[in-house]
Amino acid sequence: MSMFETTRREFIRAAAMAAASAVMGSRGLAEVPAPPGGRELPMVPGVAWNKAPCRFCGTGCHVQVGVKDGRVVAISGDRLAEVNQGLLCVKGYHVGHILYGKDRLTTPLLRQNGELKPISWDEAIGIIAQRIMAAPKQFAMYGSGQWTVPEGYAANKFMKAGLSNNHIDPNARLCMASAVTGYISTYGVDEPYNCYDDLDHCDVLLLWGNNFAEMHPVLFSRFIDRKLKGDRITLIDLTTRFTRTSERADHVLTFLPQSDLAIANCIAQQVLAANAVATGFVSKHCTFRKPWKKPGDPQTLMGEPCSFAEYQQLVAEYTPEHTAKISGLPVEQLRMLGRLFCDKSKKITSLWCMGMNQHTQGTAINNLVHAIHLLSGHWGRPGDGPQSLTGQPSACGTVREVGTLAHALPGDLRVDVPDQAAKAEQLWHLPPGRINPKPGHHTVLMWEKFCTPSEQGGDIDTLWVQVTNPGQSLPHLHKLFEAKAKLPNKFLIVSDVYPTATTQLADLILPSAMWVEKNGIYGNSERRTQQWFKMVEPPGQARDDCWQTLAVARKLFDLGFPGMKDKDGRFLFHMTDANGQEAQPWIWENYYRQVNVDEKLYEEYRPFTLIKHKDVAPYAELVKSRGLRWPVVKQPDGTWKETRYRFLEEFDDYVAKGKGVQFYHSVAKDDKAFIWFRPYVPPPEVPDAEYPLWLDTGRVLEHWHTATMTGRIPQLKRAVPQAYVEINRLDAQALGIQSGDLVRLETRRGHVQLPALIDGRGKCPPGHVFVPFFDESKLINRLTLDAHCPFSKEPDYKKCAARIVKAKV
Amino acid sequence: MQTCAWVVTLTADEPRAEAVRQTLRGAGPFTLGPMQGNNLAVVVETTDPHAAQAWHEWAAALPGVENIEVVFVHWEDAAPEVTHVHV
Repeated sequence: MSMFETTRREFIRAAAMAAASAVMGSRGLAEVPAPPGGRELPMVPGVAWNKAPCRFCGTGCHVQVGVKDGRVVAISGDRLAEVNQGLLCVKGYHVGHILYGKDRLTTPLLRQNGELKPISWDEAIGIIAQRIMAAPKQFAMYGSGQWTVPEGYAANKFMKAGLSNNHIDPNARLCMASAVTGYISTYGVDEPYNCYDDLDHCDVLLLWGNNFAEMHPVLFSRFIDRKLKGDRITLIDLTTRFTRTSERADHVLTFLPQSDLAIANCIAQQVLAANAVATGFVSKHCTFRKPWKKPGDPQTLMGEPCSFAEYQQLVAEYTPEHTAKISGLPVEQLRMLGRLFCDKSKKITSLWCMGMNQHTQGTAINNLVHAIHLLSGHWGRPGDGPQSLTGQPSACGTVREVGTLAHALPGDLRVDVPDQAAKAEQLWHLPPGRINPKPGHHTVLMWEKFCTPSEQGGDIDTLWVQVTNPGQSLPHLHKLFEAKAKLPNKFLIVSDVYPTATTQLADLILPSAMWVEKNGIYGNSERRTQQWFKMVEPPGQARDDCWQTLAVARKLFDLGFPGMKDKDGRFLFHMTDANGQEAQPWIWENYYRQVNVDEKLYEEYRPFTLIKHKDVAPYAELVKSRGLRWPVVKQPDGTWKETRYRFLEEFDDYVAKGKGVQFYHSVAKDDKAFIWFRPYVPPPEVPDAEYPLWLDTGRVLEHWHTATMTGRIPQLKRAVPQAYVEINRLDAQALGIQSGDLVRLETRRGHVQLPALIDGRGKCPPGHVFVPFFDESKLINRLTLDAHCPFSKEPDYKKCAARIVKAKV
Repeated sequence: MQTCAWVVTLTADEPRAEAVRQTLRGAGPFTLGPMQGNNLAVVVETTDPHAAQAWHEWAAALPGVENIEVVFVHWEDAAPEVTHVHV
């Protein structure tokens, strides 16, 4: 080894040690102060650093990305980021490798006679435009919470303003739509009022079906670090299976699937029975709601008013004894939860993610968890309130805020509310009536229509997928995806970075740039908008998804499609450079040269966010920060202030002076939140003699979503190389199955062969099995149900009936 | 060569914490840095990028190790051998 190399290694070692030492110095501080002289980045020879949010989950950790010679060569946790304070999880510190899989898609590919053949970008854009020209109402777009904010905004505008077509929906429909309907039907407006700071202030962390340790590991560490330092805080894991989260929990409460509804009502019943209702808060800031006029009627999203006495009566049946029968929890554990919510001295943070959202009663259980916090007064202090988490990096920023849902418009507006659609038309400079007032197809319906022959009512003929992998992540895959294989007239376009289960059925594949190969903006779970700049070039001919959308829009404009003009006849995505000259970002060579397209689109979008007090920060402020939590409000001194807690006068500039608490977008326009009663409703499919097991699906720490990225990182792939079926030891013994045996798992919709895992990191109770969904060679979603919540339309991946047999080898 | 920086949270039980430090000092790829509270800065250098993950799992299982956080990774000359996972 040369002296130069020795010195270089020593330099890198010293940089690494400095990084660890600096993180130790700052961790645990709610505010991360910049020390005098700044907080230098690791000094590694020749490496330039820049900030970006991590590409994976919804936590929104910031990383510093080290680039040398046009390649990402190092990743460091960003010590200036409040979210992660320099820490990263196992996925985060490998995130740089996701760019460099050997099988990156690098050229557009068209399927001809069953074979994928390279074509030019001009040809690809032309093919899409011709498909749309032929049948604009039969076209749909399917995106995700991995779209950047400008990408999602461009797609949404292209569809709703350009094509007058609302058939655009994201995969986030499959993961957090129930949280959206839960927030809207409780507070009148979507997204959490609180933030991750609650983890620093709570006395009790109550997890509702949430494997926090594996799904949001950096946030979990933030809480556990307090425990390790001696804070007397309690972790309660309400779960259907024992997980890594359970290992660290003070109380593990293992309940039967779907019975979370009854458990929440049981907590409310005990708060009422103990006269522990927060009377002052409730009478001033809440009203009661029931789901129907009378029991037996269909439930509705916004329900009916209900008196306190009636609410008491409805909840009364959920005694601990009655609920124990539904939930399988011992009465004493239910009483423990009841006592907890009756105790005002403790601050309780409730967190949830897919366990509550992927639920045929997803809206209902979201309503109920908000309800018990409001009813008991465990709401409104830092550390004392309910908060949903998301699984994708911009499920909040791009889907919920930009409104890339079939009914939505940017800024939480709706297509079917005339004055809101008119407002959008005004901001988009459209002729009146351009926006179609009929909501488009939600995800499950969109794919059902695409996989149904046109003559049988399948009214989607061309479907463009960007930034997601529905061929693996949709439920009931035979019905909602694989049926397309037999429909030659249906045309599937897929923009992606790697071959996936979805590209297998694609007719046209477009190679995309990813993460730091492009500019971007994400919005995380705590209302934090985060920005980054392009740092390296994408491989081959891969291009930004946003450019792809703009290029198709421009092609349609050139072909004379009327919707691609605003009311003055200008291109829908008209933008000008610093000299006032019209930019031509639809020409790839200009995309990064003439204007910052991200900034232009984001600043066009920003006025929408002011309408419902979701004011995102100016682009220039995002550039300077590690993200800011909206509403970001300009102060008299010209600075911009983010909001940690909405609806609280102490924190939120939009609360009227003297109000204390104000739900200023409440459903009833009375500034009050709803405290809901929703009844326990049994799941749509339950184990029986033929299919005697509960099947639950989910994720593991090492893989993100369908593993199209993490599956290409050898360290992560090796850690968890394939999916497995987690089975209880007693069930395995009864079936003569040992760990590692190949078994056949079956439901009424399909089957898959998997190795059995007994007493692994997760442990199912008897009668339950669990399978992670990351493995494309073992598509567990061929088995899952497409039954969904009637309001959020989010399917239930967490419970269906299954059976298991030892496979013949 | 892959270089990682860890923050290792050790048990508050000092004899057990010292045993962990001794074990790490005696193992090949580790350079131990300063302690702050229960946190220990550690640098891990491995020629094989797979090995870093294996050392992580090994260290996490040591009695007296409460938690390991990774805060920095440099792999400039250890390009990953990325496998094709598509079926």
